[in-house]
Amino acid sequence: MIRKLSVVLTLAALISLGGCKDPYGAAVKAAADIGTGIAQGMKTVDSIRQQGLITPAEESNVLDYLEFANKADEAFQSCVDTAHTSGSKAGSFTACATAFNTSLNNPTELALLHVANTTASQNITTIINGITTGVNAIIAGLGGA
Amino acid sequence: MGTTTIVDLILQALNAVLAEIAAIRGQSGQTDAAIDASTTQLLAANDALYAALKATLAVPKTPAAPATPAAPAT
Repeated sequence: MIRKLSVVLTLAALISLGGCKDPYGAAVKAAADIGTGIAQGMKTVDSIRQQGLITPAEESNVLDYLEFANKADEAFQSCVDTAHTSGSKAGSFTACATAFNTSLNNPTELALLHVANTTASQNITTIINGITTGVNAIIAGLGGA
Repeated sequence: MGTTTIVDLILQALNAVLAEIAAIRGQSGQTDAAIDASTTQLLAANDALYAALKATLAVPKTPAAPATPAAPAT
């Protein structure tokens, strides 16, 4: 189910970015897709903990990362809004997406994702891959806009 | 007739993919500004979801040790 979610998120991001004649529209749609993925990720992690696959402390750490990603998405959206109202200058949307990608790869935050259970770890990796793949798709789809 | 061929299976799969794409495009039928506004709400809801889930994980705080009574004045 999580893999399907990731595929759908990536597909949605790619479709919304097609051609990129509208970088503002593409960026806000991508922010929405990623926000949906984060919400689903939080619910899934809580479910995994309820099944006993991860400890409450591990869930807490993963939730901290997902909330960090959500804050980064909020910052991305704010950046996109500013780029839009400032006249959509060349490179401004891509700069927002690049900053988003850099945030997600913060080593301190990524360290929160470690869990002991192998199956749970794979699920969490899939969730995170869905988010980062979506952000990379934004950067590729914007084509420097 | 009545036999499912490989072509039928491919068409079924293709239709499923097209239906999914149509559904996604349907969701994208809103204006950019409307999507932007709903995204703001979605991300705020995520903040609330995070707070709610963290609250369920909170370990009750250990009550603070009572203060040592002051020595009676002599």
